[in-house]
Amino acid sequence: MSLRVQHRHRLAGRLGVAGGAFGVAAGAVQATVGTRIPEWTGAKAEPISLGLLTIGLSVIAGMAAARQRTPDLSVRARAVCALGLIGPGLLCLSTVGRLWYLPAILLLAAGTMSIDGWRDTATAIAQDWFRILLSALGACEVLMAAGAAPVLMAVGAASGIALIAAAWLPSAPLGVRVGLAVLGTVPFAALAWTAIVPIVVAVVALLVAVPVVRNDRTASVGHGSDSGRPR
Amino acid sequence: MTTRRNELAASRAPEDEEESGGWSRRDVLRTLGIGGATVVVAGAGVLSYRVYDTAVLDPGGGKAYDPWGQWRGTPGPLGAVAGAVLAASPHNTQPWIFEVGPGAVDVFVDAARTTGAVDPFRREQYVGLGCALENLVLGCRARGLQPDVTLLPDGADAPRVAHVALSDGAPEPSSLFDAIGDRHTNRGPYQPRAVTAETLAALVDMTDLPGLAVHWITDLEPKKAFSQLLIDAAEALTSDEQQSRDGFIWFRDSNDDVQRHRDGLVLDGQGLTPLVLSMAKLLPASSRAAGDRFWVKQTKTVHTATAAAYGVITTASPGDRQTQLHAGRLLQRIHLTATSRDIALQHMNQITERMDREQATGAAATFAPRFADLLPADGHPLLTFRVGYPVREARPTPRRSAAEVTR
Repeated sequence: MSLRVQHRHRLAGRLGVAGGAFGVAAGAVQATVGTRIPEWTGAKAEPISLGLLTIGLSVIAGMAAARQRTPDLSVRARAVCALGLIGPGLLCLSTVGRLWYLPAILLLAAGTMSIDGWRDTATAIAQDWFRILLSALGACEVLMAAGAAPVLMAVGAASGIALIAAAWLPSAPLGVRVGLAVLGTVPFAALAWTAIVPIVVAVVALLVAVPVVRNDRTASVGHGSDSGRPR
Repeated sequence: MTTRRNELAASRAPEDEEESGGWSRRDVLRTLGIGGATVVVAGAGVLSYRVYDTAVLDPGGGKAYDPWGQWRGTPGPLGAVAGAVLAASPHNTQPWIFEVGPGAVDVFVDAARTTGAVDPFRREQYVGLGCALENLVLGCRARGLQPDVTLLPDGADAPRVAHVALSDGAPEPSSLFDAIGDRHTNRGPYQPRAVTAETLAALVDMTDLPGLAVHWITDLEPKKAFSQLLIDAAEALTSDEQQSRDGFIWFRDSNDDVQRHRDGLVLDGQGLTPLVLSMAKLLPASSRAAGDRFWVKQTKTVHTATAAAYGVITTASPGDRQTQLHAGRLLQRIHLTATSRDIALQHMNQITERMDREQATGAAATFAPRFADLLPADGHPLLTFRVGYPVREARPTPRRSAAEVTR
């Protein structure tokens, strides 16, 4: 790894950690005095829960920033770190209002700088594309569950986690992966059918899960590049 | 030889295409599949966000609905206020402010909470205050606080509309008090089942409420005429730009608005099936014109089409504030009694709203004579509602908490 790349990773780490720290502060402000300064915090109806969510996502971003400094990180792992920085950087724009402007800039810059090769990253992502889609559908269920009544919240969150697990446990027995996919779709869709969208998500998830659960080559849609060490 | 050449050609063709940079049929299909799946998942993501943002999976949830679960637990006069805030009010405007003292509760009108041209003489506003007053009295009695109500202690135009002096007494629980948390306006369809005259009569308790009468419209022909009058009034109201605008101001179309304002009309209160309610929430907010069309359509196809009976509260002096407060108490009493007997009720005041509007603007009276034809000679209409056995339960509407409206 060249000195220039090391320097970039170091800088990305500093920016990311700073962004995460400012983010934690922004979340703490939202949770404690958010209602008193609505013009700064976005006048949210649920400042405490949004503040805590912001703190959680900021911590993840900070951890991703620290992790991406590790030398010889695989392309896939580096892509995950970038997602850990860019994801919270964008998501929290809707949680703490103007207080997130500075953390957002720092985290987006850090996320962008943590990537070594965009083509390799794209290839690594493409190889796991159906897994990513299935994970996204799991995240959709978690999102819906976040605004649901207690029982649905628990079932939706468990379903989302089960779907994500089904996507990223390729070495688990087929029965376990199928079970996770079914558990991740059917109960939530059955309980929340009147909202229609859980059914749509379940159908799409089951279709996407077929190549993932079978774990054959159709789950990998790239052209043979490995997702291992950076070149 | 020919066979061997064909096998070679078949086995090499895809690689040749890849090497030459061309796209095989498999590549195209694969790319289309990936692209299609990605678009579908992105669409599912957008819909999932709508589910979250509009609280489709938690109807009646959040702080705006918390008062429905807190009204029993709070002790003392503030607990009685917690029950009072659950009362009916025009367009759920909640035009009340309470002042809780050591031995009394004062009720004030919040004059800014008005429906404007829909209620030009603020008749419904005072009726709403009467409804709150009835709940307050029931809440005090249930807590062992004997209420002594003085209406308009500072005069008819003063902001203080009632002084409720409290003295110690034995707790008086009642079925009406128990019904406070279950009473909701039911705008959904009612069963094709008559409510008997005896049952209707049992809904009315005029104790301490002089100057009022309740007229029931149950026979087929008068009901038909009254239904048409309600439909005509709904159409006239939506055709009146100012009335339409002033009513629409109170419609809360996003969950953020519901949780922020904690008042007004909401989709949850429209009596829709769970499936239709979810779809309505997922779609973009409707315009004023679309909302008006929906209301007229519901009036035609649901409200009037399934009403078992209409009730009209009449009086000789509809413009008198004290009478309006009494009428509010009576209306709330009827609604609570109906609730305790599993009978649904919906307030339907568009006829009197049009009558007031015509009077306020100096227009020719078109609705007053038609309404008068359906009523006894000495009764002027003040409030109108329909009753029946519901097809489905009504949902709660948002409320500001007792703490928010108490000073």
